[in-house]
Amino acid sequence: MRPMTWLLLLGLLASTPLAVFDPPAFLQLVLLAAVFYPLVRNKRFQQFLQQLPRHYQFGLIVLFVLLLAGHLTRSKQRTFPFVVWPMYGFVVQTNLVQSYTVIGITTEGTFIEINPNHLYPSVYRGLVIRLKWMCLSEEEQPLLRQTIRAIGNEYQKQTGISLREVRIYYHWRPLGSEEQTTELIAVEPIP
Amino acid sequence: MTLLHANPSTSYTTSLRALIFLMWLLKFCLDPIQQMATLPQELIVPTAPVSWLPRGVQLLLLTEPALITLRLVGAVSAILTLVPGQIRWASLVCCTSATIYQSLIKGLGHVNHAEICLLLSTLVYTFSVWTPRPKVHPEPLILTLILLTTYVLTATYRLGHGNWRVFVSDSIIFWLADNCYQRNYYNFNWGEWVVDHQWKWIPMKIGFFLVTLLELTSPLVIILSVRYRVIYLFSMLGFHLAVLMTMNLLFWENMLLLGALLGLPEKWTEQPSVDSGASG
Repeated sequence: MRPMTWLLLLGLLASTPLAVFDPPAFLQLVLLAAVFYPLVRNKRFQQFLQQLPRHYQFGLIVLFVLLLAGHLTRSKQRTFPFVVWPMYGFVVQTNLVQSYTVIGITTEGTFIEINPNHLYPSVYRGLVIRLKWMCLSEEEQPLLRQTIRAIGNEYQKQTGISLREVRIYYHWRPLGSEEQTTELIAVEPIP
Repeated sequence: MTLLHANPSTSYTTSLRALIFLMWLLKFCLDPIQQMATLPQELIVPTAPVSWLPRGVQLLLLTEPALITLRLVGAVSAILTLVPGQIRWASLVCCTSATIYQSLIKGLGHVNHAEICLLLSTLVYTFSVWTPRPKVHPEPLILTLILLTTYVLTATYRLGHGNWRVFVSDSIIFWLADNCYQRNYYNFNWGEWVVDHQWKWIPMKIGFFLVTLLELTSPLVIILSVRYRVIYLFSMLGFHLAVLMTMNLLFWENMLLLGALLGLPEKWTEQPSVDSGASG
């Protein structure tokens, strides 16, 4: 067998504890070994690796070990940018689809829907998820009110429309149904 | 069997580097990150490596003047990477600015994966300009490996943790609904068209399984025929477009990288070959 094959087998053997303590991670390692096997057995790929200077070979190994370690340890914040890639990788246990709406009430009394993602495009994905968490958490209500006040102020600054207050509503809807339950979560006056 | 980017030309490697730093230039110019300063500071807990700094420094970085400075330094250094003779320091400064920028914006609730391949590509290019140059340009193949590995990791996680149940359950339909009922940055909402008609759920689930298989077999793109590469490229671009239209999630950085790494004919990317005799 070639050195690369030995390396793959050794890697799998070394990860035996994973098979016991974290079967999904072990299954992932087996799949990774299977899909990368044809590549590492490719002669031209081996030549490519061999002609790289030592510092490149070392850098490449470090890079891929970090990618794999961050992924298999399901790390997010601590090891960024070497993180887990879990997109749509778990079975959803609920059929209640949840969403929120931020509403601004102008000084004239008109209700306007505010899209916070357009006010903070840098963090739009994070803001959507964080606002949902805050709506559902009792402890985070003060932070939620501070956040919707900041959203109201930013909306006034960017649009020139004066607001009297900002509200956040939460919606629940069973998957496949059009019936929606709505609850007012927080109201924050805008000074 | 072939090997993609076995012997890339200098002009292609340099153009790829320029594309990567131009993508950062675009981000620094267009993304108003200083607006984050108006959000409550408790809301943002930066990721590594900024999280390794004292909290006082993290809070300083989240102030409006610091964020504007970060944008300016990032944009200027990205431009300077295009100026001959400036690449070493400019790439280092741009890479550092991009890393800080990403650590800050990923610190709000969710580590969005959209820019991670771009950031890792920047690290590779910064490494390459600071180290002695090898005989061939390895960067295009390394970038391809990184990009494709992230797709493989996504697929293996789905198969390892979600296994067959993730495909037969209504999970993918739930995520469609979750993303399209919620106000997002993009609001195409074609997902509602799927969610609201149950007969469309089965084709959606089959598509989800097929995309996972395609992601899983990504490394084969490097060694299989050009025809397979083209099929793979258009399938992945179509997949990203479908994700945008149905779930309002845009991975334009990955789409550009896929196009630049897999979509160009070899006569544009490779050096005129003197047959080495290694057909593989």
